[in-house]
Amino acid sequence: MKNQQQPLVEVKGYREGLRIILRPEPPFEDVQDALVHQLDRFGDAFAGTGILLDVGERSLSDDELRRLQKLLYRRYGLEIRRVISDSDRTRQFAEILKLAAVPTLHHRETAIEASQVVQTEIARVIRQTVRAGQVERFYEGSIMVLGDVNPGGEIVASGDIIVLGTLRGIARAGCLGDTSAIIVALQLVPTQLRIGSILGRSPSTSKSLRDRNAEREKNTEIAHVVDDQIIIEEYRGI
Amino acid sequence: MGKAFVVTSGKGGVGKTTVTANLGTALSVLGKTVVVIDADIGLRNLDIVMGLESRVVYTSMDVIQGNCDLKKALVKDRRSENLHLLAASQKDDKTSIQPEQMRKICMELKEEYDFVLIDSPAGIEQGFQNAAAGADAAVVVTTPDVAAVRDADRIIGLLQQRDLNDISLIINRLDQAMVKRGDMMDQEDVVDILSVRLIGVIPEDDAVVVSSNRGLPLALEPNAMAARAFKRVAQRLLGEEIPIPEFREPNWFTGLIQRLLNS
Ligand SMILES: Nc1ncnc2c1ncn2[C@@H]1O[C@H](COP(=O)(O)OP(=O)(O)OP(=O)(O)O)[C@@H](O)[C@H]1O
Ligand SMILES: [Mg+2]
Repeated sequence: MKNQQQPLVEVKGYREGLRIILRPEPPFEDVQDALVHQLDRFGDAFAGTGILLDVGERSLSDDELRRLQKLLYRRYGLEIRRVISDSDRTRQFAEILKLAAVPTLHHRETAIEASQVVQTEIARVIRQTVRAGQVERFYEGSIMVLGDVNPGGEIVASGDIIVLGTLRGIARAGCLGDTSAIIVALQLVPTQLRIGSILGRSPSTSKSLRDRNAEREKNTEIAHVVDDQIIIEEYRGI
Repeated sequence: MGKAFVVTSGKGGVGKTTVTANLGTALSVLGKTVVVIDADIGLRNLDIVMGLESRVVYTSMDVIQGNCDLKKALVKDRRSENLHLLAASQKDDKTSIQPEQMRKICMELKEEYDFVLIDSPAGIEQGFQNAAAGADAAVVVTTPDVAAVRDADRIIGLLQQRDLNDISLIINRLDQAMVKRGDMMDQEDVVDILSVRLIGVIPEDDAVVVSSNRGLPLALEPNAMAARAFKRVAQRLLGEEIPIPEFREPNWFTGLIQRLLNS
């Protein structure tokens, strides 16, 4: 009975990846359905993200593990980086699939440092410009960039995104679904913004170079969600 | 001990080879000893742009394979005593060279020459990795358009990842008239995004194409706009403080003086 209050699957932020926790007792098929149900909400928003697959006491057959790996990768672009399992067999199967595997006990030691701090109180500080082709992720709090985010660069955070520079690339705040997250930049001229699952595109794509020059002098701006829409306005403190 | 620069861009055709040939020539005119290396294995053209194709006997591949020593593989420029070329093999490809081998060649050349300029192939794969392997610094070349700047940004990120932080920027083929009409990014737009030190803006100039076809880098011709721009780049590399903006509208007075000086 106790188990029914707990969800079959939990998806949490973990450093720069996601931690997917599967309850050990329910049948595999049910757990898999629940996982699909959870992840479908995010669409392909996490493509390229690393996964910590925590199966605890559950023993997975190699076929089940393979299916999970395929499902996560094909459907969501997620890559399993590490499997946490108390079953020797499951860990062996994982290693055959070239996945690192550790028992729960061993893992706890390394996990503590990450969970000691309250989520919203940590931030990753990036002390350089994020350039084209670079993606910075942090799924346990906010990201602060001391530099610019250039076109083709991308920031993904479960909390807020603060850019002490010009944000021209892509920013996704509240990426685990928190629509109260904000994006602040000294100059906010992004290619694309996302807060939670709400999408905002740059209106300036069709603007001429001359118009964009005029924007150089703009004030610090904030993007936040009001009535299910991303609103950008001058930043005057929260 | 000299200094090795990789001349790179990400996007193809923006003027890496042109910059390598002309900057090398301009530096040698200013009295520096220079070797330019063609690292675009399999697609060599630095020798052609410098008019040295007929003099190439050995290539960097011969040096690596031990067919000849490095000194012997260097081709002396036709006009400048101080300038030498190390050509690329045409029959091999980018994968036939290892970064370590390039590094060794650069180290050896730096012992004797003030400047080693490495003309990199386009792209971010092994050819670029090889070209960058022996470099102490980078000259990133871009044209003022969105795609080239995006690739330059990518390259700068990759250079910084390999701890190559001494990065200078050259904007090539800037067309003042188009900038004025608001149809082209100006140098400020480009530097805003790339945020590295700008050491030169080379104008769009037909003389560049003509001189490349003739195999005579135009850095020696004092009248071409682009030639003067290359000379200023060389001077800035040597530490002289020459302010950028490169071009000022000639008003009737400076225009008159210019005409008098040229006549
Ligand atoms: N400032 C300029 N004005 C006019 N034409 C130019 C200028 N700079 C370069 N060009 C021309 O552009 C073409 C490409 O230049 P170049 O070969 O130097 O580029 P590249 O970056 O080395 O190309 P690749 O990536 O193929 O090696 C050449 O025909 C060259 O003459
Ligand atoms: Mg070239």
